Amino acid sequence: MEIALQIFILIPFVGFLLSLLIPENKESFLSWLAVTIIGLQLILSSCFTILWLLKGRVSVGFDSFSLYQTNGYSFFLSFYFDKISAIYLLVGGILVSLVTRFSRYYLHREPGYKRFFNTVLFFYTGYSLTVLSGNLETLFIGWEILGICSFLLIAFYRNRYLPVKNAVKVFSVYRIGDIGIILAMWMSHHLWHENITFQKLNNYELVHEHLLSHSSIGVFIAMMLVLAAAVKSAQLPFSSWLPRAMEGPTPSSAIFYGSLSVHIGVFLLLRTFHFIEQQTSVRIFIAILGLVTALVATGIGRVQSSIKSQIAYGSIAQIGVIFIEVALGFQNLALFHFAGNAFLRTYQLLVSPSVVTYLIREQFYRYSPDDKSIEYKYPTKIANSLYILCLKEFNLDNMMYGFLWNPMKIMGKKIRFLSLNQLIMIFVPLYFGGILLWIYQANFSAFFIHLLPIVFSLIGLLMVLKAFTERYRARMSWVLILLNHALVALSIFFNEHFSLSHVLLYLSGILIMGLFGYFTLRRIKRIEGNIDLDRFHGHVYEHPKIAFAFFLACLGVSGFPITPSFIGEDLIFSHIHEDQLLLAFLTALSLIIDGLAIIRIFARVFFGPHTKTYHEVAYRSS
Amino acid sequence: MDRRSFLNSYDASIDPDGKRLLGILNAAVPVCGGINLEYYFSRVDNQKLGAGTKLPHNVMGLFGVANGIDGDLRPGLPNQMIEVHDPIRLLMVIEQNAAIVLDVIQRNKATYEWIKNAWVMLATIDPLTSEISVFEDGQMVSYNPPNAIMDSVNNLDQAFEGSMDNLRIFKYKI
Repeated sequence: MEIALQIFILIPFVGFLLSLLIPENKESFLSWLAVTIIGLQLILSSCFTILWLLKGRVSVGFDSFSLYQTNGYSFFLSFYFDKISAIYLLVGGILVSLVTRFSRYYLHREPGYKRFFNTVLFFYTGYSLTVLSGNLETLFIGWEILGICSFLLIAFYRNRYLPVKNAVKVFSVYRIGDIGIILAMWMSHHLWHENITFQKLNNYELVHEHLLSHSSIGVFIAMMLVLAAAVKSAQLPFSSWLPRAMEGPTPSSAIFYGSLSVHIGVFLLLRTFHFIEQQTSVRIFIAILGLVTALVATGIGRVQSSIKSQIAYGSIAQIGVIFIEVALGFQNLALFHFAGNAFLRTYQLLVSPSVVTYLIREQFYRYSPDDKSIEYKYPTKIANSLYILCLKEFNLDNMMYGFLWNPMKIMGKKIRFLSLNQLIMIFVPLYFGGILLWIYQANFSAFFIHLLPIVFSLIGLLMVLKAFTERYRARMSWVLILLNHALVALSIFFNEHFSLSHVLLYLSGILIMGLFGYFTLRRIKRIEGNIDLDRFHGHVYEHPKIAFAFFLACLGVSGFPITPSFIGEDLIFSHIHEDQLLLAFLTALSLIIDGLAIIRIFARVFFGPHTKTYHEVAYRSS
Repeated sequence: MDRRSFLNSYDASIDPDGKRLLGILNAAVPVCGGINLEYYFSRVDNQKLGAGTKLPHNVMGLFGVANGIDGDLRPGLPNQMIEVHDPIRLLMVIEQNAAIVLDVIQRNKATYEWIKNAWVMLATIDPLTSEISVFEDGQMVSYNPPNAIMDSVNNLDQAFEGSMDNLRIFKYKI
């Protein structure tokens, strides 16, 4: 019975691969395939759930094949099925199948019809993988797929400025959540000394015993998980990404940002609840976070002028309440609440284009102001201040810029004067020096050797900061990203459990995809001349194939799941010791900015308003 | 004429002085002309003068639409409405004597502006002689159709199906 769990991931994935092969103009066949695949998965998962109910609702765990195995380290896919997975799988199946049916006609004759169904199927693969995952590694693969699909669907109108800008924005916020999971995975390797499965987390004594001796590690892991959940579920202070994600076609907004994608954060909390359960401080934190979010988001939602942002903030507020329920331990209520919220928001978003028709009757013919509203009871000054604050979304969006991205940009600008040749002149001796130091490390003091990884990862961080802020040379920015990876690998050299094969696995993936990406960039530069990063070029309009090739390279270099660099990334982290928090933090930070710099190059060169204006080009502000 | 034409009933024989025609034209010229120009400009540049595709539209304050939450309010019509239309001016064909029509359209200055400045094209077909006249530079000029051989169809649905482009000119046989 357990083996069947893999089928639920395989079905949408095969569907996704098949849908890539169908030509663009076969609209009805494409959508038929998507509807059939998702319907098939829904039927099978319903049967599976019924069987599971009849068998007495025993949680099912299944460790699938290992992707990578050495002594002391094994990266294996693991699946797990219990009531949480059951609810998420069924709600997801029903909603996605309804929305694909809806989109069959809604997207008729839209350019990108094929792209839409490709992305939905890939999204559903990631979703199924996430909700059926049995350990953090498997969950992270699904999580990353969801992230990249989000980017693609927000930037669905890839030749307009705002969707692309917002897609990059949402992706950069998601990256923070990714780092939460990476750090949680890293620390839990050290806590459990294995890739712990969620099934083992159910063992109260085991968790209790480990937490007793390592309570601060426990809090660290739990807080990283909460960070990831808060990002994905748009809780404070990250809420402002959700309304900005409503740029794609309405059905995709409905399924992603209205219902399924935003509830994945809740899922993460529910899934790891047995771990969080015993840490009262974390539970209190989750409850307070949920409460504050619910209050603030309700206020914001009430004064928003557009229907989709009203729905988005309404959804955020409900998820805040779900967070409180999770913290209190009301799992069933939280699941019930999730299902209700998901269905309601999908419905609301799907009918949102007709909101005028619905409300005009109410507001035009029998409108009476609501005098029982709570705002009338506030003193005027407070009511007005709250009104302005809510209208401005509590400056959440500016805050993300002010505290997160601007400091990085300022740091990156400080080293703008360096040219590529100068950098390579610095990099090559530095790297060989580093390798020599590593070979003769016995001759130096332990403190010095201990300090070196931090120095190297700091230099790597500077490289990637420069890549992120480079305003002109796209290829140089790309090379800097690759150099950063090399430096990350070098800094790991100095940990004693070093294994050459691990670093090679990591670097080989990066190198192949890096070169591939470099040559695609060079090709587009040869054809188009200008690919400077100070503006959007929109070259996907004329060169969709080159854009796709470069996209693959981006996935490879950013350590996207299924690429060798992903396993390498996880491996690299397993070599960082638990007392090297600074190193872990720097490595994680450089990987975040790395992802941002990569997606920035991709977006600037291939997305956005097309430089050539022989066809209709929308205003930047539209 | 798939989704592209209006028909207003009018009997020239009971309206010799054009009084009723004036009533019709006062309403039809600005209304149909306005609709036509909305389609016209939305079709000329759908991204800037129209509303682009309607799929990502977000209703703003119950009075307009925008893309996303920070986009501009969009003017004009969405892509889904104008895809079968070409940017051409409205042509009004009136079954009435050309001289009477010329007199009628000049009675209301506001309506005449539309026609005089060629925002709306005007043609008449004489109910008695079937002679066609076209309004040009303040005159009704007689119009002679080119003597081309036309294909004929007897099933209009068949002619509509299968293509989004403009139809060729057919002779319609029942």
